[in-house]
Amino acid sequence: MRSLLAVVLACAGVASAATAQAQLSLHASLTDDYDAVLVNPALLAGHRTTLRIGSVHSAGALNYAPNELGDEVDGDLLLRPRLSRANVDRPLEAFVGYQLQSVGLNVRRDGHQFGLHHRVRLDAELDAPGALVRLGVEGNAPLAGSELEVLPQGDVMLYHEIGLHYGRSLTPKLAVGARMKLLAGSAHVGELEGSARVTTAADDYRIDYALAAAFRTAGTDFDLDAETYEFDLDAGELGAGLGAAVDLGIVLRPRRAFEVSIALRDLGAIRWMDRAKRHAGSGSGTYVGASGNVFAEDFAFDFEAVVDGLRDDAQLRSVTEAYTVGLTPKLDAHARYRLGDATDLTATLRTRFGLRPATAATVGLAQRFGELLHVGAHLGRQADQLIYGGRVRVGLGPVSMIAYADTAPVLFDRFAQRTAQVGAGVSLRFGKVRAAKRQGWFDGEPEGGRTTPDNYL
Amino acid sequence: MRKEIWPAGLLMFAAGLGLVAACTSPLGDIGFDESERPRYALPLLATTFTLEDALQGFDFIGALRDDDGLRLVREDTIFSDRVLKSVVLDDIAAPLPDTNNTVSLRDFGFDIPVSKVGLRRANFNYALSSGSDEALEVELRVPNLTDRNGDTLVVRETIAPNGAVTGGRPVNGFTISLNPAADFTINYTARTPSGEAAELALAVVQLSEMEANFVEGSLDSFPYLLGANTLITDYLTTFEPNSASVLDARVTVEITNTAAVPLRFDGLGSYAALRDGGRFPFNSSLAGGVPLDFPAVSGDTARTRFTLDDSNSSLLAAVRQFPDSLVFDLQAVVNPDRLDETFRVNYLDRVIGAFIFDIPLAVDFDGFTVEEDFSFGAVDQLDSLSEATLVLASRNGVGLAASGQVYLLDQDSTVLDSLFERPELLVDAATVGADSEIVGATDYVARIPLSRVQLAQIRRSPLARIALRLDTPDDDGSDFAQLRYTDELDLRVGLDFTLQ
Repeated sequence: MRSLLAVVLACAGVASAATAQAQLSLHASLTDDYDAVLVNPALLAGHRTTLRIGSVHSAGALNYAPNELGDEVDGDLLLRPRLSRANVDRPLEAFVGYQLQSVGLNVRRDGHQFGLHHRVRLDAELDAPGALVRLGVEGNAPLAGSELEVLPQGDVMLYHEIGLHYGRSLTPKLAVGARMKLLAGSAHVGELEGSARVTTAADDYRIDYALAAAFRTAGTDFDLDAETYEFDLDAGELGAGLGAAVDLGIVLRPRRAFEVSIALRDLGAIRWMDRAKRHAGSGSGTYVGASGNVFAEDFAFDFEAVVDGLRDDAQLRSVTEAYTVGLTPKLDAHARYRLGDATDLTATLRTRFGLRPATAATVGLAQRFGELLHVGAHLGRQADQLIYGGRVRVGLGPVSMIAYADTAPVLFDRFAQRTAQVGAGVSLRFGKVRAAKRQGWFDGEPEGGRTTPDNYL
Repeated sequence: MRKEIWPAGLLMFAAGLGLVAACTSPLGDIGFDESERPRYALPLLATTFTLEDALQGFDFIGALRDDDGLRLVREDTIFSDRVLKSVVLDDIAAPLPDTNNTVSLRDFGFDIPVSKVGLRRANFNYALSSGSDEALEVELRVPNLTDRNGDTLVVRETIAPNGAVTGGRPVNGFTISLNPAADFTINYTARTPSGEAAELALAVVQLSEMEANFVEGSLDSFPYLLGANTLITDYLTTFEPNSASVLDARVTVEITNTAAVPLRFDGLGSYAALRDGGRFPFNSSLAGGVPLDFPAVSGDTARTRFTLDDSNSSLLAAVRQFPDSLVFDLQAVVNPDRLDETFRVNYLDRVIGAFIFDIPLAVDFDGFTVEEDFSFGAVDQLDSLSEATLVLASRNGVGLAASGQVYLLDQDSTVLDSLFERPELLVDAATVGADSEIVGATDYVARIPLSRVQLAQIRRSPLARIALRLDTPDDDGSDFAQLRYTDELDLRVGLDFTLQ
């Protein structure tokens, strides 16, 4: 019961802050920033050397706002069964992304750049039937008498990513880049499939169930044949899986003030091997509690025996079996039109493929004030919700600090949001790249070049 | 310009970091409000049992028979005695003033109307004294006492001059033959060595320690005292007077007789010892006597049954008080009609009397209560319960409804609280037809709310007492319900609860 609730609440919790599909604001004109390079290796950095000394990125999306399930009380979310009864009429779809980058390096030499990075990534998707949500929020008593489909689908992947990238400008109008990524898996839970139906009888609460489901885990000791079930996801684990992936990027400038960049990321997979298992259950039955003749001499309420009986009925089995899981590919497309020397008009489209493909789109405006300050804002639509947000970058000598909130309302009323994406990072930058004379986007550029983000041409 | 933006930039960056930190727990704590929590429903128990299963713990279970309906049949032997135990043969001591002496045993209290008494064991004793200066040869002859060969008992003794002699011998297996007057003759002769007849100065004989092996005769109206017997009826203590009654209860008296002699059961009455210490007297028409069958040949068996019911005895009225015991005074009479025949009662002939209580469990329970203390057991899990409702869903094929009250007790079994304001119906009775037969099972769902205070009380002291009140249905004109071993109760228990 607790675990069921925890799954639902975890999804709802992340979704509250949460996010969309992508670092939309990164494209609000900072295309020469290190974070932009992380998204699209064809976007050349604005400095010769950039050293990332840490960043965190948290994102989530949910098709329910937290206040559709509960109320905010003193900053806490108190779930309300009556709200669940009124609002939950569709499956819950959730996405969670969390990235913690330790180090990163990018070196730019003229029209070339290369670098590497390490980060820990958590990608999770969940598609939970509405009945499961109601079960978690309301309990099974109000739903007694109804057959409930409760098996969620989803995938949780925790892994380390070490990336090597290279990008170069082929012509003044074209730049390309790629990143090779070595993936060291920590843990995986997913590939849920099948169905699980439960019915609580209205009169005596007996629970009928029919189960035909399977899922996989790796990097955890979870085993259906064990006495107790435990999930232990450890980010320090490196050897549970091994994989590779590539990111591909391209930048086009068909016209003087117009730039289009496209990145296709996370094309790869992880082969899970350590404690990799397929778990399956297939059976049906009725749970009635202790059963038998209470007057019989050998009658006893043995909860463990009851549970063991249920396990047997459900034919729960775990089989050791290595398997491969693909990453969820993402497509990032960005268009930028320069209104002026330090002002950009932008448009961004991002699609995340996977269990339930999702797309977000924004238009934005960005303004920079030299190296000291850059601000950007955008407006768009994501998960059937209007979103707006922004970002700020502060440059203090070699220190560059960036913070962003793609879905700004989450800062003010996070309980009403279905998406959120926030992040922050710190980098050290050295050697501003200056564009050669007359190679900029505009006529009459200064002799020594311009400190603009267009400096790879 | 730079100085103005510095602090703003730092503040924004700090805000950004705070924002990211906040996103690790974006909604604060996630939980439920006290006023609105999820409600869970869990089955706890599903049990099906028959009435036979449920009655295993009761005292009277061994007395139940399932014979076209459940019956409480209890057979108790209230007497089993050899008839000859009533034939008490006192010692007989007779002086012999003459050489020929005849006495009537009637004078010695021997009033049994018999012509023969076979002696299983007895002693013949004598004391002889001589007044002669010569030795005497004495011969005692008892014509009424013959051995298995029909030979008369003869005892010979020699008495020294002016001497005396005492002696005796067993007369086991001898037979005393008597005429209707029960005359008993003892003769003796005494002679000197020269053959001259003499008389003894004193002669006394005695028959002692007699135990009859058989008696033979008319046994005319001989009273056969069965004595007072107490029948313990503790199996009835399950029932409470005035809260339960039984339909068509009856008592069958069965007399088994192996004596080839007519008997009349002549006395049945006395009282029921009630649980409150009182006595409930009863009698029956048996006071006028019931003739018993008897076998043609001693050793064979003849049985006589007669039934007591409300028409001929108040015994059942006493039984309906569900007493602790019944005390009987019993008596029979041999050859009550004074038949002029000779009957013989042998040593092993006996009369066995049995009372068979046959109480069909077509009962009318009106507030019949059962109380039982119990413990809720390990109640640590209750710590996490906020409120709960216990649900009893039953399909009852037994013709009894159960209402209940549960009292919460402290460690000293003092009642602290009860779960209900008044006893609640927990299990409804099966539908009963006009003939008291079960027509169909009845479904019923009872809900027992447990408040937070009561849960806390149970946590403090898990002791409780359940008081079950059983009632027979009365909605179709039938106050009685026939119970059967196979009557079945299907009970499912669930718990509806919220967590703290």
